[in-house]
Amino acid sequence: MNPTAAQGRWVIGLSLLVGLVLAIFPLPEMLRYIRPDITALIIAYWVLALPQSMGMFVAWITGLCLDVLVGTPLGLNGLCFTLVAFVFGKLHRQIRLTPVWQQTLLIFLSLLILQAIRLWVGKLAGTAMPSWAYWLPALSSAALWPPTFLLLRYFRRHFEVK
Amino acid sequence: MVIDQRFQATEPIRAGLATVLIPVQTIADMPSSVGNRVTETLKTRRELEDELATLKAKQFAYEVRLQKIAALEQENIRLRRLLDSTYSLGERVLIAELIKVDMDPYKQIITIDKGSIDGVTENQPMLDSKGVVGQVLKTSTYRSTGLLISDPGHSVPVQINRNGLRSIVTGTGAYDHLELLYVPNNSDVAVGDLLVTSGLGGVFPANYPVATITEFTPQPERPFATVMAKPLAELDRIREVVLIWEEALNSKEPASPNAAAEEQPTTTEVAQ
Repeated sequence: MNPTAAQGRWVIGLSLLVGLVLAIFPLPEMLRYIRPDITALIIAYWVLALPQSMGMFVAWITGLCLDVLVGTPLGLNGLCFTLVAFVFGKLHRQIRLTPVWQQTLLIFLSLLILQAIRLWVGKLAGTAMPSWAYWLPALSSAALWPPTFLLLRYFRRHFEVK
Repeated sequence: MVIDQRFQATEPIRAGLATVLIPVQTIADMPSSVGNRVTETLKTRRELEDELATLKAKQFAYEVRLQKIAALEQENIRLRRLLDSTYSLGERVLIAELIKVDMDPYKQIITIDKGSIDGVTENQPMLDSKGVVGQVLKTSTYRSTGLLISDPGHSVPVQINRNGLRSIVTGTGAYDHLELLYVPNNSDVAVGDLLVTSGLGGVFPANYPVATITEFTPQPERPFATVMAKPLAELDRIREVVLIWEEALNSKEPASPNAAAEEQPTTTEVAQ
């Protein structure tokens, strides 16, 4: 990576920090179960927009931080976010061309897969089988993809992040 | 992840990251802590006076009761010495405040603002003014996470205060329901019985209140009855917890070096 090409990276870091804060932000009891996975959305956006600046390593570190914050087995979210970064990074050319509603569908599917991985690892770690509400975060995250996408695109253009 | 679950190898990484991430927790905690401070500032003088009066009355009542306890304690120690058994009464306590952040919604865990620098260790019991809250799960330098007794993966050895019947209380995942395991159908259990820690297992010291029985249904076709209990501590409403250190569980065994290292001047003392 050419250091002169890098610009405004702090915006990426700041947005990831905001994602982490939102991940542990206190919510009412009912909303806790449908808490959207904003951090995954933010990682997906930056990987799509700037695959050369945002890689799997940053995604992994962010995931580890989230694991420490929410008390999941260390590395679970690291694995999940690395997967997001890998898939979206591989396919970023195709995904960028699709309209936002199709991207929303894709986000929904990939977050379902992430929840399945979390459930599988949770089973290994011995947590109880949750109810059907367990799958709701995929839906709420997908619903938040268009606003996240537009907001982050605005910031990217405004600060000329490269 | 398996390594993290089964061994302690990744503990330093977790502790280091947790220390670095304290600002994130502080930011997430900010709205509720600022809210608390604002409501406290906006309280009227009248309200404060009322509160002071009730607290003073309570304090007076407790002090009167405490006078008796000192004498009873001495008597208890004397009698136990006659019986040649040992008993520990002295415990050091430290009050820790909850950091208001949400964690894994499928686990009952909390974050507190005391860490290994305050002498907090893993598996240390946490109480509040009404009863047992849980135990410390993981510690980092300035913060710790604790597991509540309502977590499905948490169990406390208890006994019924009335008749000494022993059992195990396990969480169900709901804040106000606990389940008693391995209670035979014909055992003497009544709704309203108080459950106290039995001291078995070595994590929780004996005789702290845990829960009251809310349901006892014998299951004739099964070996054990269904027994439900309600925790005394208001697990969904706690704002601070009390961490306790037991001074020498049994004086026949010398206190472990760890226990000695825990005694740091930073902790408030209450030991008798």
